[in-house]
Amino acid sequence: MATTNQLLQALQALYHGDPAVKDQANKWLEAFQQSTEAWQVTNDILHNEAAGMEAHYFAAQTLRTKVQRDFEELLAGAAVSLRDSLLSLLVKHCQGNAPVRTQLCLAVAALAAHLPAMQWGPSGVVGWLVQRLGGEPQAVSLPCMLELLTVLPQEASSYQPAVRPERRRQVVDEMMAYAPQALQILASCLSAPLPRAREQALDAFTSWLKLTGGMGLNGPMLMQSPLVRAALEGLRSSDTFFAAVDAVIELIYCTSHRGRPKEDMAPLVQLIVPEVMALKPRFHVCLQQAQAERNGSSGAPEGEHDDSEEEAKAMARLFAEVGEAYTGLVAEGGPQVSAPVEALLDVASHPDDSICSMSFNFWHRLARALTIGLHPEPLESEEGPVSDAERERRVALFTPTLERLVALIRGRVRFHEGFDSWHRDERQDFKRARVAVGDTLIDCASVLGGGRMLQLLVEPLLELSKQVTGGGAFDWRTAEAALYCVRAVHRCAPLPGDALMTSLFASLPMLPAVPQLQYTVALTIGAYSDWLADTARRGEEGRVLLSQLLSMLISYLTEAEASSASALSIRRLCDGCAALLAASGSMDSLMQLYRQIQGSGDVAQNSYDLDLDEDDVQQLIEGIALVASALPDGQRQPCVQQMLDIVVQPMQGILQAAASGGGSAPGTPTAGGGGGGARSGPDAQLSLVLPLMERVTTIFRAVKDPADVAEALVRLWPWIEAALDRFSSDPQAVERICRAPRYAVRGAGKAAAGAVPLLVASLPQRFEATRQPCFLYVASELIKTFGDEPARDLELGGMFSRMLACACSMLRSLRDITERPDVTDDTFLLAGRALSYAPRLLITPQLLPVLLDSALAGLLVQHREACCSILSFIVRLLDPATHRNCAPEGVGALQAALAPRAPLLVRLLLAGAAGALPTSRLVELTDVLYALLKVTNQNGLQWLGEALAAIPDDAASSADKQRFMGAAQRVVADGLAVNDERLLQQAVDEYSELSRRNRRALVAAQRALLPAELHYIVR
Amino acid sequence: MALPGQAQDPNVPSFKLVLVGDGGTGKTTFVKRHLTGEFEKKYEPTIGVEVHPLDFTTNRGKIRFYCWDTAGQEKFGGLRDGYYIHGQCAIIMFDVTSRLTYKNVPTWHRDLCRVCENIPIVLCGNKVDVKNRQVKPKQVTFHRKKNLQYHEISAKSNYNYEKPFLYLARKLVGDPNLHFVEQVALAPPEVQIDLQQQQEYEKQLQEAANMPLPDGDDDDIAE
Repeated sequence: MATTNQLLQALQALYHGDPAVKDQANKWLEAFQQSTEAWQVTNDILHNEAAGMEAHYFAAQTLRTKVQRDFEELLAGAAVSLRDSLLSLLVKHCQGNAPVRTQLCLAVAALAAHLPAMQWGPSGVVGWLVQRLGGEPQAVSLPCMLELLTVLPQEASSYQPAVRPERRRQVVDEMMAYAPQALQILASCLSAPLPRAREQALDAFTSWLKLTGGMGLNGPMLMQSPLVRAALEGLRSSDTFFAAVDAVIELIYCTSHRGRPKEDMAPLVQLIVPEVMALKPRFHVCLQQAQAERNGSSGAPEGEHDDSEEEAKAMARLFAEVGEAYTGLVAEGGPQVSAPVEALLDVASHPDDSICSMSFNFWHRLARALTIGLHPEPLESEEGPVSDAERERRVALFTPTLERLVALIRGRVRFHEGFDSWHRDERQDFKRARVAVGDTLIDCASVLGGGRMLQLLVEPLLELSKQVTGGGAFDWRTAEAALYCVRAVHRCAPLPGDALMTSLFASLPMLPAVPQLQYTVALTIGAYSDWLADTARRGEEGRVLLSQLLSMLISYLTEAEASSASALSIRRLCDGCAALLAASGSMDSLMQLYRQIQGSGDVAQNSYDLDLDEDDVQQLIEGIALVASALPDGQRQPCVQQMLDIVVQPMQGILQAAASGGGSAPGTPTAGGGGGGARSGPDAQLSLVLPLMERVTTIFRAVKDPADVAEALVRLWPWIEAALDRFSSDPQAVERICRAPRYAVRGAGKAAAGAVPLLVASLPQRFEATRQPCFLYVASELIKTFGDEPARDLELGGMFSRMLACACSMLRSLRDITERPDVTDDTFLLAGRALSYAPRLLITPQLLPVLLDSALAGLLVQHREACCSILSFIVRLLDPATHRNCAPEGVGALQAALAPRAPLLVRLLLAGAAGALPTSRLVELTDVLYALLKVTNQNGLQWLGEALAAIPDDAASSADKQRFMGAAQRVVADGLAVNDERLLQQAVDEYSELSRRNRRALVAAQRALLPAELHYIVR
Repeated sequence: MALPGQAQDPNVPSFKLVLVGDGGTGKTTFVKRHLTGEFEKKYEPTIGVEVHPLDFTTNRGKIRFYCWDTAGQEKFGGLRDGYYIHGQCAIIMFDVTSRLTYKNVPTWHRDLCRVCENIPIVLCGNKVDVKNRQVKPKQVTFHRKKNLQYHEISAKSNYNYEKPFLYLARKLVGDPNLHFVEQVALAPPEVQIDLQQQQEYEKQLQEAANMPLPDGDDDDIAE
């Protein structure tokens, strides 16, 4: 029996003890919270003034948990004495520690969830509390009432109290109905003689607004409420400022719907918006202070800075919420919109990036509202179409605003003079902020158009050029910033051949060699590869430009800071302009580059080579392969083959040397990746195989002609095998090597027919030997590509059944599956592919039962992907489309495998919903049950009925079960033609909620549903 | 709060950090990056609570966070807000690949604030390395609230690992210019989305901007 002393010791250990004791104490305390003695012990502690704050807090928290979860433990009729006891504890602790009082208030709120309004008396819980606390002195009653009125609405939709779903809905309705009464009480508390009365009343007001969303509180009622006045006035008082901000923001939400004021709320909006806008001068003060500080002339002490920053953030938030709530109205451009728009321009000019960026969502929404109908994916909140003339009017109206915005934020991307000496974190922050600015520039460009946008973005460049002409120094940072912005808006590029753009690009090779500038120059070129391609197609000037820029990028590869950006952009150019480059004779110089980079990256052998990252080498290889693919027939094949040979030859040499005894024996783990140059000897050489193989994969992925890839796969297969032999016990290496055949099959498609015999001979053997899931993945590519050819059933079926049998032998129990989520995932992916492309291979009396056993064993695995793979496989198996694709004997095999397992399947699904799986899996669990019911009808209902019958009444009453069955019957009765999964989802959600309402129900339901060997998972 | 082998130095300021968020959002993995450098591929839910000391060296001396890594999944028990008392700062974690975990952020935040008033809190969107993002940066606005900072992180790639701790340290010490002077020893990243280099960083973002539907490794599960 737990005693107060034991509890105090355990708490001491939990909060202050060392880890081993902590763990023990934690377990003891958990068990204590679940015991029935906890009711009494916590009560005793809370009455013992000497117990101390920690004990009081824990006792109050436990008591709250007990009321929430274990109310069912109490005898009928005990609720009334519990209520009295809670209230007297609350009164006792009302002036003590705030967290203790809060927990006791939460306990009262939980009791209100259990006890229907009627049982509290004619005016419900709120009235009862007023009456009960009315007898106490104001110093007691006021703080209690204020806190109770804060947590009651907050807890109205809480999932913590163990109530049945229908009661939960009632609780929300009851609470909503109390709102007018509660607001009246709160209004009367506003002027109470308590230090934080106003602030707390506003907090409580916020909670009620949040609960109701304005429902039941109409505009006129709110207009007259002293709380609304207090909230607006509170914006002007430093004591209540933050509470007032929260309340006003909640009011803004209540008054708006889809970007506009609700009809009955318009006068309230007229009241709110000017009050919020009246904060602009105060925001200006913060703004100036922040700007002064940024310029190093801060007079404010550190503490004050902090406050001012939070204040600025709060005001910016208010401005942003106003803008976002009424964007639709703002976009119409009435006379009243200028103040909010100006305020948001002020926010955008704040030097702190986190404040400035608060305005960005508004600009995004505004841009969307101004371009309604032009966007491929309309927003859910978007209004109906507007006429072209109206849209043009709106765009014209907002053009000056957005141009100002561009001018305000374009400079934010400029590198600071001290950037290089900044801390790494600060540099990162700056770059993140740049990206956010770039996004907003895209929004602006979508309204202003690419041509106008470009003019705005190059303005600083023109200014710079003037300065340089006048003898000033060239400020590379300004140039870099302008190019960064130009790059950001590349999706709104001006028309091909645009004169300003062309001259901008033509000027790039003349810029001074500053590494950061080169970096951005390189990325800008890559971003506009499509524009450059279109421009080159229009005439000679464009083609010359393209070739100049490509040469410049190649020359940048020797610059450490710009090489990655150049490699990326070369790939982009090659991709966007492949045909142009292939036709213009660029292939020779590209092949020269190709040879030059072979000794770089992770294959770097000496210091004469280009110093590139392996990723950059891969980018370049991909780009060059894309251009090679665009060569005419007859030139293309030898070029691709040559590219492969250049990579494969050194790899062959290394593998041959290793095979002739130079390297470690096959099967010995070998270091993967890393620069081999630092080490010598066969082992170091061997590590070069992996990057070389990845280069082969890159070529496979980039080459467009299926026959080219297929031919190469067959030719290189022995070397892929040799590499796999060499690295067989290194899972990561095997996975890297397997990407080669996988992408080759994907790229080659049916043309890979010649490789099928090689792969089907190798894959099962390798999977059996290494148990690496990547072989399953390669096999699934084969099934996807060739599964529709019955003539291949013998070879594909042999491979498939061997691999699946081996995988299933690894996945026999939940423990196995928890250990190997990767194998599980790929096994069910492979099986799913078979269902889609070759169901006859899987749906056999030999294979399907074994696979289903694994599926059932792993159905309750916690790993998200593994669990979802299993569940979605079963859904696909049950899909009527799968049945239609089966021969009659297949349907027979499916039914024979399913029928004996279905009762267990249903029980596992219910156990998962009851708490064995997280609630985020409920959708997938329902998918399976729904599919099962739709295809098995009466049988399905019977299995479900049996499973539900097994659940004891204290977990789910017969009425609960009947409701569940009712939904299932409806789903069956509606038949396949009607999509009514929503009905079943609701039933599953309710049943899940019911079973999870407390530990007792959770454990009872799971133990009843789970087979004995899985009882260990019930906690 | 001394732990064995970690004798408490009275000169090292230490703070209780409460780490909360839905189950499976990566709280334990995040803490373990610092402790052991390992990245957990398997998911083993935290049961109850685990407390780890995490040390950082700043330009103002050493600082220690006692990180209370709590169970996110209710099924795995724990005392939930029973751990929060004396909490001086907090991290709320959600998973950008799961909308539900973001939806639950306000509840975690409210539960925390009820026990620990006015503490600095960092909201962390984890798993930004995953291609299939469900919560986009623009949708994350919860941190506009007072005393809240938002960071996108990836426990898998070490991306922004220090950021949450830096914000908390600055707020707790009251020095906006505080910074970490020694790099925290972390294991090499599992995936490289952030090589701490300008090139890589921007390359990735640029890639992302241009690939609305990337042809990746896991793109073909649904077909």
